Amino acid sequence: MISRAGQQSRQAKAPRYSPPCQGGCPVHTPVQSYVNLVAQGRFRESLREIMAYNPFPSSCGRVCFHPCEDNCRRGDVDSSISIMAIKRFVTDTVRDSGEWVEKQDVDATNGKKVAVIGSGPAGMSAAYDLARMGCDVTVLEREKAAGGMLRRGILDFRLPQDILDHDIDYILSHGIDLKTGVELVANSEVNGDGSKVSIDSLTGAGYDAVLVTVGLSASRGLPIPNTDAKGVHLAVPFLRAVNEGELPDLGEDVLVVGGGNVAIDVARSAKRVSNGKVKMCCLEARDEMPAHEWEITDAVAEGIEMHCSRGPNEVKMDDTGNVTGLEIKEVACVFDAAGRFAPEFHADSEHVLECDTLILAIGQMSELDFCDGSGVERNERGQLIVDRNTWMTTRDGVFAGGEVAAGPGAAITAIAGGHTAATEIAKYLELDNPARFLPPEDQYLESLPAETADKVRKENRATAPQLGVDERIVDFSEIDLGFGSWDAVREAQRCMNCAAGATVVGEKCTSCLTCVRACPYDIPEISEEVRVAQMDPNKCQSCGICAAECPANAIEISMEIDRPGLPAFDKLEAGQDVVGFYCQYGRFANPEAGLNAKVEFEGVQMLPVLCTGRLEETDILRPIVEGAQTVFVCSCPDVSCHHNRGSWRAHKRIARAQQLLEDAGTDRDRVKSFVTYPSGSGYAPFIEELKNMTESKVGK
Amino acid sequence: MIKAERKPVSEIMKMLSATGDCNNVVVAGCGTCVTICFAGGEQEVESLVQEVKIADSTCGRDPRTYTETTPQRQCEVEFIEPLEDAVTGADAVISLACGVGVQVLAERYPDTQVIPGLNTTFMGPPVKQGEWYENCAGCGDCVLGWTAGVCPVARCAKSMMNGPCGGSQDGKCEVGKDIDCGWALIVSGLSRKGQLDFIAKAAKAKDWSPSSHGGQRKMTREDLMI
Repeated sequence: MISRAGQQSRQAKAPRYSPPCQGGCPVHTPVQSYVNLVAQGRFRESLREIMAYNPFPSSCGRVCFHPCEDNCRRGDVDSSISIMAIKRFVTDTVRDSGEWVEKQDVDATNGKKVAVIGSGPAGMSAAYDLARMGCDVTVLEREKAAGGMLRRGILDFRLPQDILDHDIDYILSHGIDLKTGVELVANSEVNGDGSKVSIDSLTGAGYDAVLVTVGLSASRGLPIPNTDAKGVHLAVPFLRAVNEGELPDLGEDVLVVGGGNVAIDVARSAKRVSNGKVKMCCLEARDEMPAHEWEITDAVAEGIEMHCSRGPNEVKMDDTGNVTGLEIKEVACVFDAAGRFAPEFHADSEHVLECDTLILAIGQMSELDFCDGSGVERNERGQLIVDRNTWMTTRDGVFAGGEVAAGPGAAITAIAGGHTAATEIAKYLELDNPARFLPPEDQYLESLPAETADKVRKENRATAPQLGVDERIVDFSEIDLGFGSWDAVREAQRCMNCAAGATVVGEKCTSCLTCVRACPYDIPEISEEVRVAQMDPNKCQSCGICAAECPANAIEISMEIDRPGLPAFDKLEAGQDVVGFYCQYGRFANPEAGLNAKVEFEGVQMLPVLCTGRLEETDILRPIVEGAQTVFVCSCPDVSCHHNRGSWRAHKRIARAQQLLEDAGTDRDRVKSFVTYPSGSGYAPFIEELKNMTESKVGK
Repeated sequence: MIKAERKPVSEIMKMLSATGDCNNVVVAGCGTCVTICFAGGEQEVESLVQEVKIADSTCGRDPRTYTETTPQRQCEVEFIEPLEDAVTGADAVISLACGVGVQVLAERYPDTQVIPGLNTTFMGPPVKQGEWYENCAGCGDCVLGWTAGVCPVARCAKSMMNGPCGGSQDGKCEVGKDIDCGWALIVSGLSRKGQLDFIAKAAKAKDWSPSSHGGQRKMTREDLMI
């Protein structure tokens, strides 16, 4: 059923639930919405949707740990949607078009000055929000270029620098002043040229609030003998050196200590700059490693050896002070019964892993010397003391966000931290415009019940191609190659539109059981207790078939199919006398097919529908009532219908509409039906017929 | 429940034309029985309006003004009173209710032309989605307890009360090969239950006075009156 302006009873309600993909994302990106826009071939709109929540879409499309995919309910049916690859596709496609999305709205200047220390994902996200709220925002960065750990900690084979630059340039375009080469220090070290500033010097310069997002910029060392041997490196300086092309001599045998994502990045980077073997050792067993599974898999594929359940005991070095290996002990267990970190080792299990270079990647910490004398206090463990509600430090007006405040996390978690800090700063500054980032209050759906999952059409997950292993390890070329447009669209079309389904208007429901009988997924129920139809939002597949069948018009579909730019039929424009409905899941979403919502034939109004099973005969006839000469419906073949029998139902309603036309004394062929296959079959005859329709109009 | 089906639009148009120059038309559905059988619910109201518009357009008539409404039941005065302004100001009302609703509407608004948009067909259940059959004639003297739950009045073409006629062949009625013989069903049902002797009780002379043969029927419950 298609909603129309002016018909209150047909208007979609806001969903009571949200899809769990959105709930899994730390910034609550409306995943379903932007994935669906890709499914319709509407890439630029998709990117705008993403960027309202995430100012680092290009970067996150490459390096995010994509919790959205972990929460994707497609995984309950076959396998989750390749959401991150879809996001990357969108950003690449729009960027390659040469015209990035326009700036977000920026409110009028409010006269408030905010300094943000650190230009990583947390700081830049906060700056982005505050600038859009009308603040005068200055970002201070110690390094030569903005980006924080996204730039220094992630190498080009995962995130090319120019891609990161693109995200940062867009953020800065909202009126943010970036000053690089400026370090936050204690009062005693402030200099006159502005390259070293303190909290006091910033507040003295008129900043109304200061946000510290300096991250975890220093590597932790190991409290074992001989870590000062030549050839022993720390992860962060190593990654920075590689990133800046200052390649250290690694010899032929590199050992990386650590089992997290940074350790994996270090090992993979070392693989590309060393001439020989790279191996890793870590306390955790293989299945306990904190690194993401896909990162480990890629590292192993690149030939990196894993020595798991090994704890470092002593760095071995030769007479000249050069590292020769690491003595390790076999780990009995890493965590105690309460799950706390408390490693135990097997007795007499010491042995040496030989190496020419040893890189320690066992964790990171913040550099907080700037706190001295600033009123910004640290706890007994040396960490910033931050109020977890207001994200303010112990000094009024000085806030902290991202990893320095919340501890280690992913880029998207830091972005969320930046948003939250900006919201709290806005409250502190008593800004009267609403915060740019407020998480939805909806409940999130649970996993899809098995009895429904069994009925959902199975569709294989597509994954984007990668460079072959041999090609990868020779340089820092980007490994992931990204989706082509049709692959991206087809993958996006696997989205099940969770939480966008049917709701019943109780006062109109006659309990006629039509929805119970018509639902291809057996979801509606009429219980003894509540004697109107009910659709379990955890199960509904949002096909819209029940709404189209309901004789009382008592069912509404939450899916916003009448979004701006995607209207149901409203009126004929001048010169139009043919109206076509087409399934967005079919051939038409393919930007290479040459016909999508943007392509117009003279005199034809093209209207996309999320499965033609949603069309009622009144939807089909309405354009004729309004003066159209012909209406056509392009459905998918039954075998490839996204929903069970959606196309089949559409054909029934088309036949009914044709009969009504004949009864009304006009030509039944004014309603035409076409079937076009996603592969392209059926498309050429349709185009030919469409030409005939428009030509016949010219001849009238 | 009561079943009905849409009249052909041509018949509705003929009644509209006979009424005069109807430019202001109310199309009233009914939100209960005829909604459930896809004859007169909100969706069908919308569909009929579209069809009349197309028919008018096809024959070159100027557009009329339509008011669409679907009260919960047309057969209750309380539900149709809110329609008063629309109905009394209209040139005609096309009622997509069963005959009960059409008459209540016509009686409530005697100065307005009320046109039936449906043919009220029978009382019965759905066989499956989109298919219904008659199984009750409302005779006022139910014998289903003696007939294995199969009504001889509604399901026998002759409303025989004492067994099948000679036209019953292979369980089918002579009226049509797709019509089950009601009495064949009764006999097989009673046989299954071991109650064939019930036929004699069903077969006693039926009092048809509670049926329509006694003129318009009325019911009264003094205890319910307010």
